[in-house]
Amino acid sequence: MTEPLAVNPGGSLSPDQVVGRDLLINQLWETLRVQSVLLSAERRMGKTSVIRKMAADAEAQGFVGVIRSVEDCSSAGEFVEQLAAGLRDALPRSHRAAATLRSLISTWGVEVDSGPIRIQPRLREDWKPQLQRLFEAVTDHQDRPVVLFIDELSMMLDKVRVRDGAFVARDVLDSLRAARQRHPSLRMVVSGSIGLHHVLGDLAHPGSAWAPVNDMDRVELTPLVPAEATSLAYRLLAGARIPCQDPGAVATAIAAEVDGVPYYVHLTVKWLRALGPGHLVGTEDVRRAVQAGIEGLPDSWNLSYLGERIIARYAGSATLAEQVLDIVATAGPGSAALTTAEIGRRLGSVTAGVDETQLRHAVELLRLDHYLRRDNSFQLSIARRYWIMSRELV
Amino acid sequence: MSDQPPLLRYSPGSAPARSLEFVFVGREHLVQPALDSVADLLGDHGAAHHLFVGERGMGKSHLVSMIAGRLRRRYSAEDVRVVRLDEDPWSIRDYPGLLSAIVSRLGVAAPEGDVRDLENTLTDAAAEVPVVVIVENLGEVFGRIGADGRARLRAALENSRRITLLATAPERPVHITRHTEPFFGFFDVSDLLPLEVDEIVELVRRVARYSGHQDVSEFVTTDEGRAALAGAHGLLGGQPRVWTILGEISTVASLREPAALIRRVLDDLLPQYQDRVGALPPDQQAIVLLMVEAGGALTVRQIAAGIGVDQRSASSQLRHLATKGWVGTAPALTVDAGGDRRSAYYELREPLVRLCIQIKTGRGVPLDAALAYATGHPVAAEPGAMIESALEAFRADRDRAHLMVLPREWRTVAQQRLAEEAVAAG
Repeated sequence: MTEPLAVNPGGSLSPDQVVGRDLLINQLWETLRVQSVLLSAERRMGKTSVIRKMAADAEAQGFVGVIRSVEDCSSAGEFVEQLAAGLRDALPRSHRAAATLRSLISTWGVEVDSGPIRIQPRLREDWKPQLQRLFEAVTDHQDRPVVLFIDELSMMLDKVRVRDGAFVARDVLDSLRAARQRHPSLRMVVSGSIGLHHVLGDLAHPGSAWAPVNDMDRVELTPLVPAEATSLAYRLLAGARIPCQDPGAVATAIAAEVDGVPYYVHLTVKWLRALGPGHLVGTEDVRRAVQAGIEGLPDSWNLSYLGERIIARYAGSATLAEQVLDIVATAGPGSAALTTAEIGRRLGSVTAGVDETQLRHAVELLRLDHYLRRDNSFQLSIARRYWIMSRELV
Repeated sequence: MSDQPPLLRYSPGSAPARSLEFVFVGREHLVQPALDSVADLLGDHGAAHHLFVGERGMGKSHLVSMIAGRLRRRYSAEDVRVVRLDEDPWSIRDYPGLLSAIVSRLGVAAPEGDVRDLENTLTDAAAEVPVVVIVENLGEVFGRIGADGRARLRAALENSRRITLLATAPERPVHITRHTEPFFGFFDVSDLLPLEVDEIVELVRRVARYSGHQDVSEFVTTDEGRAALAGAHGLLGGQPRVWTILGEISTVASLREPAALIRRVLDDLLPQYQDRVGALPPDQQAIVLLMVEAGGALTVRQIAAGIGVDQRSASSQLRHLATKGWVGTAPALTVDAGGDRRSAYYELREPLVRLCIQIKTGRGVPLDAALAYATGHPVAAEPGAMIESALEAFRADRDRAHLMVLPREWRTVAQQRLAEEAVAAG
């Protein structure tokens, strides 16, 4: 498909505007036939766009799909209400489960047909049985499996932890896990902007083996493959009516320079558009655009979070994690990736007394937060370039 | 004077559409993407949210007024509802207050109940007819609605996808740049950049014509008039409000001897910049003063050394200043140069800041010398001597550091000289 697309960095895309991801989405549907999915990715990688595209296609895949962004929920009771409203709105009246669900909602003493659902305070407080009944209502009386796309769950859990305490947030996760095990036709796709591992770390008892999502298949949303990213860039260039010396070459250069990350493809095309209709864009302009995005002030590509997240989230491991990234960043993009042991050896010459357990923990966090690949190389060359620039590394 | 209604330099939202259109210069390229986004919203092709960032006087309110006007002319209220909140969000105390402000402007009765009823009223209305909400001072509004309000608003927008925000802010709000915030990276952000000389000539021409000063309107398009504005541009920068003032008060005689005119504009603007510098934390004030004193662009290393902090701290403060619109990356040189290529150079974005602080503190290049040089009367030799000295050093080793120390407008002069030399040398 080569239809022009509008530049829209950060906004909501309609399913037909989501370029690529077809292979991944097919794999996710195959996975969902047997188990639920925990979808993780760096922010702005396109998680929400992917699950929206899947939700739009759920019926064709033989599922009942319900999508809900739950970052507005501050309590477990509100989460139940949101899910119930989403299911009510998604299920056609003729659906076998619809009547059961409406019957359940009527027991909560609220308006059944439309509007926000507000469970009576007494029942709301006792939210767990209501959640169980909700899942029973929508799964027990129908032939099609239900898939819940729950976006921003980690942000909601963080709010619940702050408001009602860690035990309530843990309870929500445990209840969702129990529902997945109890109802064979219930699936979930869970995603969130804050890495769930950080939230789980905040919720777990120290030393406990609590693992409320280990029944889910962890799928990492990686950047677009080069052909997909090139196609996206090509369509955006056309949509923005940017004159190019060689549109194919410019699109290929964009895809390569930004590692195939759709958000940065959008931002690069936006920068090129600002050159004006009188400028014939070439590949050198693409390199200038990406350099401006990485090095420019103000930080229009919002890359400063790469440093800020470590300071905010890594607690005692922050300095070590920064040093690890310093070493990896200066190892050279073309050189062989460093083993953790080699990083430790190099760290030893910088900092005395590096503990191997602490080092492995820091490296693991950097992998979970998408800084590093499993081979300890930077996942995104953009991140590496930003790190070198911001830390003034030689 | 003409019998036109006056140009409202501080409240363009209240100005007649005709006068807004007449003096709308240099921002047209920002209008179409916003209009395209609304067309996509109406076609159910997703929702893009725009944020226009620029300091006071850069034309944010003018821009969103133009967009709102064109939307209202292009679409009926059955196609799209355009809601504009008050520029100063004093009446919005919290998230329900924001929702109430939007809902009441839609002409929908605010429901009884809690915040979810308000959200539901808004999203129901948007389900019938898409809604464009114009929010000025976004950072202040986001601060007022609190963390929970921001999370709820983001969820409402995501779950509805029938509402588009067109927002403005004098600086990038922390609520869109901090990684843990719901609105991180959510907006399509466009900076309102200072106007270039050609745009200034056009703006002054239009303002003068609008104000009934036909002679000024014609003069600025002559070589002499353009040169006068270009010289003044080196000092005043490209803030549209400044040039609107100048276009209204100029005479041909005053443009021929613009030093007094520039002094008058600077005097008008001085309190505004004093307030802005005064509101900065001490380390950031120190960086601004250092940059005023240096005149040109500096590296993080130079800034750290200049204010006596480590580089990490200097870098962090510099980013805060950039987020607030004070500093930016210095443009790359147009001549082939060497030196330390890894380090980026940073400089004050608005020359006006430099001049206003110079007036108050006496730091940096003396104002009289700068004025005389910029307005084509190099009675004071200092700027010319500085440029010559920088050029001589650069010719010796081609290190860009020698050029970067010059203020931007003189750097441009130096680069032109080098380009001419290169052409002459074949």
